[in-house]
Amino acid sequence: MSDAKLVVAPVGVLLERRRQHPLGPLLRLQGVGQALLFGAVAGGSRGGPQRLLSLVPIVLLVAFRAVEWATTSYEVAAAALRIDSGLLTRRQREVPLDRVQQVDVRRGLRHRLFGLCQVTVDAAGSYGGEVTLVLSEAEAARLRSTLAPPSGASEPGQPGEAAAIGDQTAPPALVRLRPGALALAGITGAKQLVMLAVVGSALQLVDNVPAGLRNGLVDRLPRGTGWLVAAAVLALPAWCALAALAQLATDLGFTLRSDGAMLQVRRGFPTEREASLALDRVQLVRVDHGLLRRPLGLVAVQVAAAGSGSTADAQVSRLTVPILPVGEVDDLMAAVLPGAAPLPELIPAPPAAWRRQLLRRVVPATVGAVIATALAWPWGLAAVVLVPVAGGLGHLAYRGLGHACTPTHLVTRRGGLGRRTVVVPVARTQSARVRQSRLQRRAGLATLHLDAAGRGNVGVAVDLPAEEARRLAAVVTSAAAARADERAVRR
Amino acid sequence: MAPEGQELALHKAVLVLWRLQALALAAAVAVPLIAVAILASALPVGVRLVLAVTAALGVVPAATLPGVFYRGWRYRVGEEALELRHGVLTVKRSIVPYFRVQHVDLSQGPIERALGLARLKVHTASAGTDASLPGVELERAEEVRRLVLDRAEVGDGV
Repeated sequence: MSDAKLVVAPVGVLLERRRQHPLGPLLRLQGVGQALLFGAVAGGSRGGPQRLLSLVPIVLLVAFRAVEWATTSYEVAAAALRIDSGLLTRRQREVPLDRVQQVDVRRGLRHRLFGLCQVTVDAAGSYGGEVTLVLSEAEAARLRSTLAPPSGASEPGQPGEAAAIGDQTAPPALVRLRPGALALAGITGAKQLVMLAVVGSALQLVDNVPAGLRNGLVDRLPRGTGWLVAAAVLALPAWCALAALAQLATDLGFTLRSDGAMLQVRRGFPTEREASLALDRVQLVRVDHGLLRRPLGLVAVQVAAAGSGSTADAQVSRLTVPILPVGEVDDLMAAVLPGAAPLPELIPAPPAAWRRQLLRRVVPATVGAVIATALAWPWGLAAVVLVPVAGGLGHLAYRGLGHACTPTHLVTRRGGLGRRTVVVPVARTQSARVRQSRLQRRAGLATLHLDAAGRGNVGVAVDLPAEEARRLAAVVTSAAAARADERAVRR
Repeated sequence: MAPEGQELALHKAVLVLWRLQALALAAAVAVPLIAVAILASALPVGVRLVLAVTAALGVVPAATLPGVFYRGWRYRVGEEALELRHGVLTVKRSIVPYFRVQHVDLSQGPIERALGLARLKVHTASAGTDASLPGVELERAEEVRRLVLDRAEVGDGV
């Protein structure tokens, strides 16, 4: 007993107990807006010394943040990152080093002003499993090298030399994206959805403008079809430019590196983000052939880890290459999931699947058209157009289906207009599910789900021959390799 | 010790639980409808009659469906993995290798306690894993849990 104690105490401490940077909690913007607003409301209408009332909420907030700073400390000891926090309710959180999935570093403009950065440590599994600390650059580098040592050290927890962020000896980049490519990514990609949200909130703003002012503005707008056409012509480039800018803000200077053990991504301006993920923690890779990108031969690639990923903003536990020529996917795959490269030729779904994919779309479209016709004769008849459209989509969806199973990886593909290919390392899947609806059973088909660790990390192969689905599902259990690979999540 | 490696059905008593639940649900829908049918004198008698009869007919699926679901349920405590099969229109099969198991939940509601039943839910590191075993005898559930955890240990020797 006493021997064990002797060994554990001095050797176990890798990073002695310390606090965040004093400015850290103060720089958190959460709640500041509300405090200012609340203060303005409370003190706004008063005169004289009572005006000071408006300062009360913000002073309270600063005091709370100061207490938060004073009572929060972290250390790395006994193979775990330990965070103590709270004044009245003391909270201790312990993240075992061998469960750390991913370490993210984020520098906002305000952090950079003071030479700080925000470090997020993400552990496998439960919701809200991540820990965020605001530290000075040097401290962050120390913590990071303790949690995820440079490739020289074999085990996590060995304090390697504190590799400074932006180290000169960084390995060559796997992917480096130029602003032009990023702009294209913005125009063809998911940023379009962000744009819709922006336009929505802008319209809301217009609503809030006082009616008198708004009517005045509307009266001054030029009239006539010429102007309308001009506005329509200008709207599309403006839309595209905004989408491109949104992408540039999140991903400017995107660089993905790998040193053989860790993947590292740097991106963004003015907020700079850096994520590092151990290669043996990669749970799944998605290759998205978006609707607008397929004709251009471009894809986006997502590398998913088992993180909790509860912060939607930071997209913790997910490394996304926003745009990549199709031809370079195999090279990237060779670095991320070596066993899966090059991606195999996919086996198309059996002919029986064609009927099902078609029926699934044509039947609802037909029902919809009949109802529309019945409700709004004769104009509802126009809805009949939907039926062949649905048929076409069904045919495309069938063409999009495909799967392949190498000894180590399952590759599946689905999607009609935009396709998605998912690569799952079989040895890292947690469980398998086979679903068979009544129609599938009649057609001898089944859908296979392979669950990888983490939220939403599932490889789905739709409409396989039932026998094949059952055979592949059994693969997850018969994985001697899987036991050796268990480190991916648990160790 | 129940046989291992064989496909097993759930315990019969779970039918009582499911029927009670289904009847409660049917009643929750039917009672307000019947109340309307009785009290809403403004409505034509035909409408009130149809309303009441439809509501009362809800009892039929409540009585029969649990049996259908029960017959669809099979589980197997295999050598390497827990295998579940259930579903009526869509048949779902789950395979959960023991060495992937992170933790196991065993729970009992008040009715289940009265019937001597328990629910077992097996968690892995994936949120997608769907492995819960409703309605097995308490001792059997404990036995399966111990078995799963024992084998999870064995696989942990990395």
